[in-house]
Amino acid sequence: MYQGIYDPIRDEYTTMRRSPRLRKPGEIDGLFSQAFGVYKDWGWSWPMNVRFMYNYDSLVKVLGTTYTFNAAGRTWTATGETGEILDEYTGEYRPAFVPGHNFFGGKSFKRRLSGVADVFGGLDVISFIRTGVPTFLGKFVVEENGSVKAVSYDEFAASTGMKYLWANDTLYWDQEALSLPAALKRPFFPGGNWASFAPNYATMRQKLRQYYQQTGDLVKAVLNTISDMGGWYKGYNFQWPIHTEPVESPVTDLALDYPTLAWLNPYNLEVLQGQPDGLGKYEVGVALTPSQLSQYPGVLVVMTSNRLTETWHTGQLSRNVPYLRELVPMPFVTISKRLAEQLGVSPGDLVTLYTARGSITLPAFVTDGEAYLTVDGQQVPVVNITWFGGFQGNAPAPAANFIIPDVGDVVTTIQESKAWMGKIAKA
Amino acid sequence: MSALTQPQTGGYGVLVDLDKCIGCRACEVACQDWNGRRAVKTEFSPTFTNPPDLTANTWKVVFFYEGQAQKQIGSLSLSQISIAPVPYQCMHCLDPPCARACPVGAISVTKEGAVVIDKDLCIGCGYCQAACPYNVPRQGSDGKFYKCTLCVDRIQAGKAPACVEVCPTGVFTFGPIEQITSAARQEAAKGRTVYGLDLTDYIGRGTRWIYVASPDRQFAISQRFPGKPLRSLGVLKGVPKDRDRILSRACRRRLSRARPSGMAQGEIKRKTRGS
Ligand code: SF4
Ligand code: SF4
Ligand code: SF4
Repeated sequence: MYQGIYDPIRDEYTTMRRSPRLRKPGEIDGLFSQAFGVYKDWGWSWPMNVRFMYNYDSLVKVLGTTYTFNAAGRTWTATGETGEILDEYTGEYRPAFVPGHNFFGGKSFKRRLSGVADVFGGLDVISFIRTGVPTFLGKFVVEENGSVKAVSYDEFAASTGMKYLWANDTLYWDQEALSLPAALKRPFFPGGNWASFAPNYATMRQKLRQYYQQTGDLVKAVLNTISDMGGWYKGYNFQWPIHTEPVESPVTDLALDYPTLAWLNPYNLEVLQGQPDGLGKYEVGVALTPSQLSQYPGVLVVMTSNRLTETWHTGQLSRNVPYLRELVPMPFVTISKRLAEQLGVSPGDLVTLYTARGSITLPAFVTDGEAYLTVDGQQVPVVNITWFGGFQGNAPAPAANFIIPDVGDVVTTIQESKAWMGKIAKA
Repeated sequence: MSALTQPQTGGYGVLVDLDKCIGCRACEVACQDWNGRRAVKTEFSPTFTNPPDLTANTWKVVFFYEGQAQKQIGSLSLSQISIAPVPYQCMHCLDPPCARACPVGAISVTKEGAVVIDKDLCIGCGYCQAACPYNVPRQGSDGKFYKCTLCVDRIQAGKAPACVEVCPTGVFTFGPIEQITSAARQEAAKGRTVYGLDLTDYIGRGTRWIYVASPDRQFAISQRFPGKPLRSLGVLKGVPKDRDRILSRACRRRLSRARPSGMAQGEIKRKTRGS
């Protein structure tokens, strides 16, 4: 569920609003709504009810003015569409994207600056919706006198005055984050430095390669390395960006030189061993080397996925709108002309995409515009799968999600849906 | 009766700046929505254009063309594969051959310059489609022909056409035809490709929808509009002067059924709006 779809203070599903009125001057986005004819109380859109993405300066650029208004007991000056979010202090709506917020930095960075190291706590939204009783899970990790301690939700709300923090499903940001002292502060947990990690890294890579050469099995090599080293990337700190290959890399040499970070996450490790909870009978797992896909026919490719303008996310809502279904009635895969010739595929023909998680069959959109990657001297075709689809509603069709690796980014836990490995053949 | 054999002056036009089009197809949907057209059941389209062509329910279709885009940045010349969208609908010819071809006078030009088919008069003979060099009018399940109306209903209510209003990037500039034409000439003078000016007499030399594109999207114009429009079908030779001679017998039969009582044989009234 997206932050903002449900307003627990007013018990309102914002997506179900149907008000055919433009907002008035004085309201959040009042000038924007009037000037550009945008009905902000008709439904809701992600994120924060913003209707045009990255629309931070339309008022200044188009109208040559800024917009000053009051909300949640404060005065704000906006330069574009701000959207709205529940204010932690008052429970009223306040603008979400104002200058100083959006031009400044990510929300987790800011909340660290303002004294909250990490948030593992908040309202259990689902139980609140079912029972109407707020229960608070988890803890807040805050900084105090240079050290770090965990406090309960109530303690945190009492010490900060954020009485309505529970109404948001996470701590979004707070005013202090924008102050100068906060800006000068370093993030939490600086950890060790690169020099102390570098030897560990060298040993880890060397062990990985050695185990792989011994066993010919990259899964075993990863598990052996973890057990030898007492952890994967032991001592690594996210302050130093490094290059890693995706979990499923088509070039094993690179996968050995730049091992994925994914196995830092315990859930991902379960997937590596083919035993995650909750997926029941469905095929899971990952192919770390092309040899793990040798039973499938076709050409080895790098797969990627993308959204379409015509459908919102997986299309759960938009797939059932007949006009939108008319435009793109089903998902498809974009392949290059060269690859199409190699596979004997004409535009619109069906192709099957095989992965370690099973296969889906989609029509091919053939274009000169789809890339080949040169990876370690090898030419590897890229195929691009539209991401929407599902087996319910007006336009049932296989979704790319079925074949995307079930491993999440170690920080964001977002699925590794931009680069994975598979094979493609004419269906 | 409006001057159908002379290019009509006055009225409105639309400048279509293809450089700005992101291919979102909001215009295609808005057109269907405003005009109360039903959604069309489609299949996957290998060109992405969907429905693959105009239909009686889709008066505006965004066509997608693939080509080689050239870009010059200083002395650097870049070339890349590009897919360019072209929003497409009735061109609203200055002297519309469809109206000349219609044997029952169901197609009229309003004072706004909109070429409009009156579905109550249309007998479904298809002459308009055959006469149209852009293959625009399409037959609906009721046998009658349908196409873009330039949203003349909206214009008369002081609004811009639905597709014009909905476009998020401002591809369409709607305004008096003189302004649109001179804006198009200015773009041409800047070296951009323009389509809709100085065409053949068959359509009154120009259209009310005028397309402009910079060199890197010029391929889309030449793929959508190859050459100048010519009258295409031999059967229509003689239109409009000899209109009756070309009426087939079937057409005459339908015509006599369609003609409102009180109209003498051979007398075909052209419906004019706003006069
Ligand atoms: S484009 Fe075709 S239908 Fe439209 S006005 Fe011209 S001839 Fe008539
Ligand atoms: S002018 Fe009106 S009828 Fe014509 S394409 Fe635009 S929305 Fe459709
Ligand atoms: S709405 Fe505008 S940007 Fe979108 S396809 Fe139509 S003309 Fe192009």
